[in-house]
Amino acid sequence: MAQEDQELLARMANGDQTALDEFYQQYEGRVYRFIRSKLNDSFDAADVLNEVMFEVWRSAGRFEGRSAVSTWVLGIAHHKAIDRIRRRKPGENVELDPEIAEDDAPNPAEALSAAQNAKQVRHCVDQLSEAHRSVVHLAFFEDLPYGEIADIVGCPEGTVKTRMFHAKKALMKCLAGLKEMGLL
Amino acid sequence: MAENGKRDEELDLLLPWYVNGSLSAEERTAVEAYLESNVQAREEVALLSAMRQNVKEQPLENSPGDLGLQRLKREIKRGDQQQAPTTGKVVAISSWWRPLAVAACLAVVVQAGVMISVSDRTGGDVGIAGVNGPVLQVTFAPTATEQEIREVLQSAGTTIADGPTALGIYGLRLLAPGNESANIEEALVKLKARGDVVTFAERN
Repeated sequence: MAQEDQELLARMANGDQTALDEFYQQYEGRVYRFIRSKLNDSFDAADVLNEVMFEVWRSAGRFEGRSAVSTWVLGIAHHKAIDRIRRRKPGENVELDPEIAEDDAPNPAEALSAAQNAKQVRHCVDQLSEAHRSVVHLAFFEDLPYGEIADIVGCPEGTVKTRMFHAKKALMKCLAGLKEMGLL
Repeated sequence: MAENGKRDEELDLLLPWYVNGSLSAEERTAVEAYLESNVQAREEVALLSAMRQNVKEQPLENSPGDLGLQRLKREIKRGDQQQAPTTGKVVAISSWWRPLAVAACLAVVVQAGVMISVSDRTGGDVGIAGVNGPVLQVTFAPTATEQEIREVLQSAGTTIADGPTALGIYGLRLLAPGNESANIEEALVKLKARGDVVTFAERN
């Protein structure tokens, strides 16, 4: 698959639009889902997806194979989504790099039953900051190793781990809170 | 390594990646030994596994699909025609093209309408864009409330007949019977007057 993806990029670099069709069909869903998880807005996500694919087309010839194609594409998507967030009106701004300590997070067992409810998990993931949502998405939806996530979001591996740690605490707190309110 | 059930912060940080199966063999062995000695860490793994399962099962809302690919190709064609700078820099796409993209989508819709109309005249299947089909296309502001949208649609004498598309475009039809041009124009004026709710409005 990795070899095939690189070949697609090579063909795209030569202006082959059928390669673009194949590439788009292969990556559109993944990239859109990642962007959507960051922006929480389907219109903006469709816009940014177009920007990402346009950049992939224009810079396919500069892909050097230092990372997987998927890492490269998701990295472009990350940066484009961040640009979009920064361009939003101040009132709509999203926290970009929060390292908030979640105090008094509940015991995992308290949040477990809530974590088995898909709607509650979705609600709590939506409450996370953009940076935390990204890491959760890449770790749990894409099943990527922390090193690859660090490449995509452009930060040290340690930062990825601590973001996930804080995201986990925030999710536990949110899920336990929903349980306590009897929303399960 | 944790002993006597004490938490090990470094290994705690690895638990999400133990759950998604992406740790190295060495890290995995260390985490498994840790889990054997720590109940809370095992509970956390159960919690993370449930979270991961539900994140994976979140329904995927419709992505732009073929419409998005067509839009991309139009952008590429336009870029080629404009002879992008040869500095090797990637051309940034800014928000100026959004109305163009919407207009291009509308062109596709109009073309589809024409095709259906021709098909009708030639005795083909009758399409949805008949007498009661959408006569206007609109997009709403992301901040608009349901109440605001309802008020605007009612004051313009329209109702939603179609959409939203992947780009958030809705098709509207007139509440009154018939699609007289003057009525459509009047509705269009009223929709455009509420720019805080309706961000784009055109005839279909």
